[in-house]
Amino acid sequence: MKKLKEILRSRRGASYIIVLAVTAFLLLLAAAALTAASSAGESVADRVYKEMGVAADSVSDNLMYSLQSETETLGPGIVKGLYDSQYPADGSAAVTPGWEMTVSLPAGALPEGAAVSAIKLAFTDLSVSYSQAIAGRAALYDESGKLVSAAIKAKPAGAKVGAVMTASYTITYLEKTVTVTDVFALTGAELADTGTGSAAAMTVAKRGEWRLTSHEKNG
Amino acid sequence: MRKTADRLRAELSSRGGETLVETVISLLIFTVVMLAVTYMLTTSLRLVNKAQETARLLQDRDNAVAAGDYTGSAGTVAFTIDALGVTSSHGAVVKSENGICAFRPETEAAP
Repeated sequence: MKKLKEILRSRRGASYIIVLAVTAFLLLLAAAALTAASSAGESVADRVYKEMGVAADSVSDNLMYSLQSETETLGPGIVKGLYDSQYPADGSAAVTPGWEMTVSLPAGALPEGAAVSAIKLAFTDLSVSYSQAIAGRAALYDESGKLVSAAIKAKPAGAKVGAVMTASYTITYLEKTVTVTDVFALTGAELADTGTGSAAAMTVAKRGEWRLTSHEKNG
Repeated sequence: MRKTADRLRAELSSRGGETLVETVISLLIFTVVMLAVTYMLTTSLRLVNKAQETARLLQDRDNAVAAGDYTGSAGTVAFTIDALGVTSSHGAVVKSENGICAFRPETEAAP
């Protein structure tokens, strides 16, 4: 402390104070410049995120419309795909599917340079219940090994399908990325065997109801 | 005046001053500070330039939306799942919502 007082009283002390003052001034100047830059950047980023938020709402809106549309095939296509995954025609084991869906948009829908990634579809709470099953039967051969009757694959006459579908994708624009996760609940979809035999394909009799239960944007 | 000149002359002829070690350390500290300040200034300049460029792009977009270049234009939204062989498409209209373009299904967008 005594030493410090001596230095401050001396001519050298004045030099120290001047150097400190100049350094502090330079640092303040740099900090002010950084603050200004950061503020300008934040304002631009806010606008970019607003653009992406509206784009995310639009994609979600159109996807919901497409799933529910009476004339289009997206909703029924997914229902049929879910049924086939649980009841594969080739007798292989059932798997919970996951598909990738691409989206194409009208000109001017997104700002130049903005892009929507492929939409990843994942399913949970998948339920497929069968009704009026047609019994399967193995092929029948006589003693000479000649085929008497062909094998019949067991096949339900009807099925009800329910699932929760998570559609996730990203929107990128000006080096910013927003991750969107939409959750849809499918209820009341039904398939029926409209053919005459067990080989007839199941078709979607009721497309069911799709409800958007969650729409989250992170970024 | 004379007194000041005498004092200045005395100081200049004096052998007192900072040691070499003090001077070198001072120079080092000053160099570090200057480098930090230069880095901060160039970084902020780069950020400002980038923000300005982005702001210009957004302004161009705003002008286009305000001029109606996109608003009202119709197009098609299509969803395709290759694994299922399913493609679904429907008409959509681009509309302005608070100065930002949104695209809504055609039937919903109609007034």
